Amino acid sequence: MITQIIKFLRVLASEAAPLQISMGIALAMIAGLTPLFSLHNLLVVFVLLTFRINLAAFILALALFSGLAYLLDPLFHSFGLSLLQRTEMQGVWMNMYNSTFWRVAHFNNTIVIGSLVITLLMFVPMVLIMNVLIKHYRTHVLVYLNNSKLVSWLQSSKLVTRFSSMMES
Amino acid sequence: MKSIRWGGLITFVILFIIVIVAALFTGTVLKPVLESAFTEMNGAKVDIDKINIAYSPFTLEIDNIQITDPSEPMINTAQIEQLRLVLSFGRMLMGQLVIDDASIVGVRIDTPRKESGEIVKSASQETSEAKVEEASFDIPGFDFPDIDELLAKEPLQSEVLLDKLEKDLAEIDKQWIKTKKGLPDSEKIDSYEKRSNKIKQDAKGNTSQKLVAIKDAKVLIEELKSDVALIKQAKAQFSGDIKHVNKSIREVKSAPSKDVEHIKGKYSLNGAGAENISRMLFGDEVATYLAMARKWYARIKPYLSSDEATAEVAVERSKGVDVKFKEQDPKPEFYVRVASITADLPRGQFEGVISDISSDQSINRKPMHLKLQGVAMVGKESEVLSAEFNYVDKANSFTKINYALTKSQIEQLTISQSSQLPLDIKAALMTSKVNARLQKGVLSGVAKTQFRQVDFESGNTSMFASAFEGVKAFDIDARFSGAIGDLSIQIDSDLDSQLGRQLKAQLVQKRQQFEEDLKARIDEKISEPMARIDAKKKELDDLKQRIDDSEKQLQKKLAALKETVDKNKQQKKNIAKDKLKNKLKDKFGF
Repeated sequence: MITQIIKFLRVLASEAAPLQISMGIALAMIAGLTPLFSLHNLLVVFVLLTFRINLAAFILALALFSGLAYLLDPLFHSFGLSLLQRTEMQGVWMNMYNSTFWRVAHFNNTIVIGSLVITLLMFVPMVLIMNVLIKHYRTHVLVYLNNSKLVSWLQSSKLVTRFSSMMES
Repeated sequence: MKSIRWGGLITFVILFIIVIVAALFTGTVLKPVLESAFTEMNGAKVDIDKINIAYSPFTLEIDNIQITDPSEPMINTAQIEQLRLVLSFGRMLMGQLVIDDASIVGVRIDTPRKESGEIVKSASQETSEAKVEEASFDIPGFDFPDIDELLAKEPLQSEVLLDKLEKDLAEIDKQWIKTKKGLPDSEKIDSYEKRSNKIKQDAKGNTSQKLVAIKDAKVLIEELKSDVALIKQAKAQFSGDIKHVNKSIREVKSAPSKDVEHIKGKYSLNGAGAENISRMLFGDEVATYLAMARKWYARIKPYLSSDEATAEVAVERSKGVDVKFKEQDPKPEFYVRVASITADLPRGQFEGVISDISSDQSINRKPMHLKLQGVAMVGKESEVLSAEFNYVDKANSFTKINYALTKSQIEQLTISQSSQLPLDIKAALMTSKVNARLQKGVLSGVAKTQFRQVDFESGNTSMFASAFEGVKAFDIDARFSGAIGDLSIQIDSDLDSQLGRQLKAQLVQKRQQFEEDLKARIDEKISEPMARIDAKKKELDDLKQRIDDSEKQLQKKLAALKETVDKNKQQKKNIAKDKLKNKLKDKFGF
């Protein structure tokens, strides 16, 4: 985990496009907040592996969101249940229920549908927000840190150098 | 194209294919999964030799399935040569096991296992199946007791009365010895005779002799009167005694018959007890068949749809709730549309069809039907088992079973192993129909069985056993109802009445013989004292005769004497009259 954090910090400080990082975080939000072994997560993995999306950001964010999901499950359940019980949606749900694909996707589970709808709604805002935040970090926070005496001292410290090389190996 | 990670894409595709193939299409993967699932359901090991998978249609062939009997781990409840399942792939992806067509080939039951199929034996399994032991029963006492033993232990009224009579006679005898002493004996009667003759002589003599005669006659008359009074008194007493003795003798003579009746009543020699023989004989048989049915029901119950109402599913954290919607073709998690079956059972070869096997009939709305029919039957005309397991409406679920067996040739069927009545049917033709219904834990039904051309054989020569030899055909109707573990069975059969008739005829004959023997023995037993009593009675009768004779003689004598005295008195009166006449004639001349 420490390696992942260090890698993530390096990625944040690197020349990598902020979109790659924010996409990794947004995809991790979907995979982490929804039940992991769901059909839609196969699509997430497919996108993650196929497109140039930052894996370190994804893995770190996945761990964070999985922990968060445990706390948010009651909210997802209530939201999913209210969605599945909506009268005007019954026709749609019934058609989906009679389709093998959607049954395999397990859409009729309150947590699956609840968490998936919420994360999909949050996907684009998340990408945009993370983009802004990463840019802000690089232009302000990172510059400030690099100029600080503490970072200069740490960079010159043999202990930190050794620890850093050990983590890299 | 710079944004696409080709290596990642290829890796994803390869991984996806591997996972799909490994999870769904490899029998090697499926084999332990199925073995484990079936073992859990069965409660003992379920072994599978091999699984073959075909893709179009998606078919699963499972070879040599061995289902261990949980109560006997070295025996297979059933062994199936091949199970062929045509599966619905789409339903399988939805997490349902829907089988469009199944064929179960080569079913055999109770086959031996090479190794134990035991897993963890629960305490309830150890105690629930107690061995069915044949209950012993008492055959009614149709075999008569030994007369000597019976007479030795039974107090006879004949003997009691006889003893009393002998005592009474002894008392009478004693009394009469005393009375007899006071009565005139022959010597006294002879002396009376002599004195009477003398009086008669004197009465013919002169006046003084006549006067003496009259005086003697008066004395003799008084003595005779006294003796006659004594005799009368003795006679009255004697008549009473004789009456008592005669009555007692009559009682003694009728006592043996009463003793026979008493003994007959006490030892139930009246044929009562021939009823409900069939209950005693076939009750255990019926109970054994029902126990077997219970055992099989317990075996198949885990595979049947449950009639228990579905409990409300608790929302498990991080799992959510699966909301169900109306399906166009609803199917439960496990469903078999139709399964054909062939079985080689000890009873013969069977073929059948099971339709709509479902883990939840309330979803597919169809009850499960089973029909199993014997083919190429040997020793029987036909055998059919049909059943309906209806759990569509869980509140009113029921199981209906019908079984029909026609003209089954029975050879050497043991009916009873009781030491009192070992009984076999050497040969018979049996036709049986069983209709049963299980609802709300209550099993009720009727089993009607007809036995024809019956040849009974008993290892015992008792009267009861021999009565069976006359029975050539009989029907048994068994009605059962109650909780499945606590059934009450009512058995009706014309065997009872047939046996009753057979037994009654034999019983009448035997009873007559027994009564005759018993009476003869009682008569023999009382014959000696009766001879003594008869002799004594003869003595009494002689004595009575003698008393009667004495009384007559004395009465005669008394009458003669009275006549003599009266005659003398008349003569005396006439003489006096004549004298007076003569005097008057002399004085008055007329």
